[in-house]
Amino acid sequence: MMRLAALFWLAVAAIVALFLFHVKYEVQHLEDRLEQAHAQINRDQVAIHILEAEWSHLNRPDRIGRLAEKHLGLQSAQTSQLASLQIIPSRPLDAGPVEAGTVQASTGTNESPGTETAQQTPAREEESGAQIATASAPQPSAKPSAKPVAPVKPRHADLPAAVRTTLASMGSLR
Amino acid sequence: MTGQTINCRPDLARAATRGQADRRTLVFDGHRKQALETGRTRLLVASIVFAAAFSVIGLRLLDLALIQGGSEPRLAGRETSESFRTSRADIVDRNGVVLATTLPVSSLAANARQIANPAEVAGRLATVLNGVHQSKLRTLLSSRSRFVWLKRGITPREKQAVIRLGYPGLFFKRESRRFYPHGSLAAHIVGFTSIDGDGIGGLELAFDEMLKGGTQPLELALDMRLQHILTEELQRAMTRFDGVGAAGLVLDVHTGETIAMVSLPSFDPKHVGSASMDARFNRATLGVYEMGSVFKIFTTAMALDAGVVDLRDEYDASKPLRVARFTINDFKPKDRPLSIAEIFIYSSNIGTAKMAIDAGTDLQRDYLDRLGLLKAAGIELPEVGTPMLPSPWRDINTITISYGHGLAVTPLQVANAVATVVNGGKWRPSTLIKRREGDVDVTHQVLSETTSRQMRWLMRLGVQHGTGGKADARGYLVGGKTGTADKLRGGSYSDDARMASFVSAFPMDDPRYVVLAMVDEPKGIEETYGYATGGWVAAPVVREVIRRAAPLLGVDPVTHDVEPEQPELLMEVAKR
Repeated sequence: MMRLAALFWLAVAAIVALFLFHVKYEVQHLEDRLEQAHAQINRDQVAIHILEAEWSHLNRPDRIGRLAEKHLGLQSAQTSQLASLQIIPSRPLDAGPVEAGTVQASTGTNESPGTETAQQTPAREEESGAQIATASAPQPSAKPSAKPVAPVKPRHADLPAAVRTTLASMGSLR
Repeated sequence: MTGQTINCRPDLARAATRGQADRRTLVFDGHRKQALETGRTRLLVASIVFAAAFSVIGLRLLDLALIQGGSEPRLAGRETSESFRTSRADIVDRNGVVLATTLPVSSLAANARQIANPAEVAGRLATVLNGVHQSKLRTLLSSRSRFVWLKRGITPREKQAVIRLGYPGLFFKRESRRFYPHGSLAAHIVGFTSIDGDGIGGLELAFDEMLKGGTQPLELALDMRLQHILTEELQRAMTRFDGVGAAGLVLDVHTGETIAMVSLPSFDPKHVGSASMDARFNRATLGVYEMGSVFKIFTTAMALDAGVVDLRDEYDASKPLRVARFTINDFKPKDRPLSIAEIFIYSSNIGTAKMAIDAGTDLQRDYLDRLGLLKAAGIELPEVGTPMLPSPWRDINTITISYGHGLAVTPLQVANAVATVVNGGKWRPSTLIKRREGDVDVTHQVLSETTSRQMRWLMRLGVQHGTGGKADARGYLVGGKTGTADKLRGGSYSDDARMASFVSAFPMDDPRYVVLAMVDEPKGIEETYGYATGGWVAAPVVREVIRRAAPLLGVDPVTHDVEPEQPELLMEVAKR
């Protein structure tokens, strides 16, 4: 009986000792990995720091300007190309479908005058209509009609003078 | 249980019983028995001690494992790694663009005693290191010294090439190097450091302690996009009119923040040693200049605010004004009495001088002082110029100062004073540091709200109908005043060296920014019919800057104009 108990406790002690060693090695391994992770984080932070400096250096406004001139052919925006949404009137109920060209011009997209409304698909028109309806928030009653109806009035006839000049300067008015 | 039991503890009693049983087989005589008894007692004492010790250990184990174990930290103590720190904090602009940062670099050094063949090593090194001369390397390597710097701050490519050469005796040292990604763009403001990383100019010097101790970047009020626009336009004007220098400022009139500050020619902070004194000189804050007609803004504002004149008053400007031995003329004389607005719009020296005479010396000094024009501007830079005041301040000085001669101030002071005039009359110190929410706004009221409104209208008229016509960026309600001052050359005013300036604010119905442009010694060109005045030289700079910058600053173009203070006068002006 005594011997059995002793054997039992010996076995328990052995198992506990093995488990302890196992845990110890595990912890050591994890600590190594932690150390590596810290070193890696440090290296990355240094790299990020250097890259931030490089990013700032490459983003010098004069360099961006030079590159834009060379590769993009863009010009700086003229005052006449800027307009706020407030100067666009809400659409009358009987005005027929919205022409995509109008919306594009009024939202200030730098669209070339060559893009004519005739090529726009009805789906595009609907989308544009939705856009302008959200833009004119005070009177949301202007809903785009789904079926395409020919416009009753000549284009832009009911727009205020300010909008007309803006559109004209962008080549959307003929 | 027998009477032999000595101890009353049951376990020992049992042992005693067993001992009695043994005694039946083993026979001990008295002597041995006594020895056995002694041994037994000792064992007993020892086992009690051990049992006590083990139970203490056991209890402690239980305590550690079960009772205290609940309060063990759930996370390891060192869960965050030590973050990367440079020896000096960064400087960034208001949008977080890095303007100055510290980078780890390698420097190449050598132990000259280990170099076997200095001539050969120097020859090979000179081919891979940029900007180091072979003969210099040779001298260094032949010096028999244990430590010589060969090149500090080498590029990774150079380092790789040196490693590939594989000479013994060469080694690298890790160092920190201050790096300015934007080069000369804001060099006068950011400043520069010595090779050991001490600030020796600009904000690097002003905030040296803070930058050395801090990890948080120093946030400036500057916007590099505007800084670039202002630099480009000033450079263009300077080149076109063959000027020797230029300065420009953009201030936020409601916070005093300096959004852009330019002084040309500029320098590369990396090679500050080779920059000329002229390039290192900050014309915007350190240079003091007689600003010319720009001062008519302050004279008119003073006269209106103190009630010396009102907008309906007129002064006769048909004849030159003679005071003591001076004669005051107008640049483009109008042969009739002029109203206050006309005096301002046509920039009449005679009219303004008469206004100043009526106001008097004391009043002028008081107003100029409160506009911050008589003492050095309190900006963070170490390079700040002190205004040059006339001493003594006689009545003739009052007259000349009314149109901007005889008092030399920095462009920064002028821009700040104009911000005060247009923002509702509140003076506040200008700053290069980005303002945060909750910063205390130190202001004092210099002019009344009414005067400020009248001045906004006058400045707008100056652009619509007056000398500043070329500054009119359509839609942004630019208002301003031109200034052309002859420069002092050895005690007398020069005919061919002048300062052309334009100071403006926009949009004039609710001003948000002051823009100042100034070109030093512009020469007249054919397209400007030989003129090199503020209206021809500096006003177009302001127009282009506003046109390009307004969308970035979130100022929308408008179609209306400033509410006229005197509609009938506007018609008069328009007619003439």
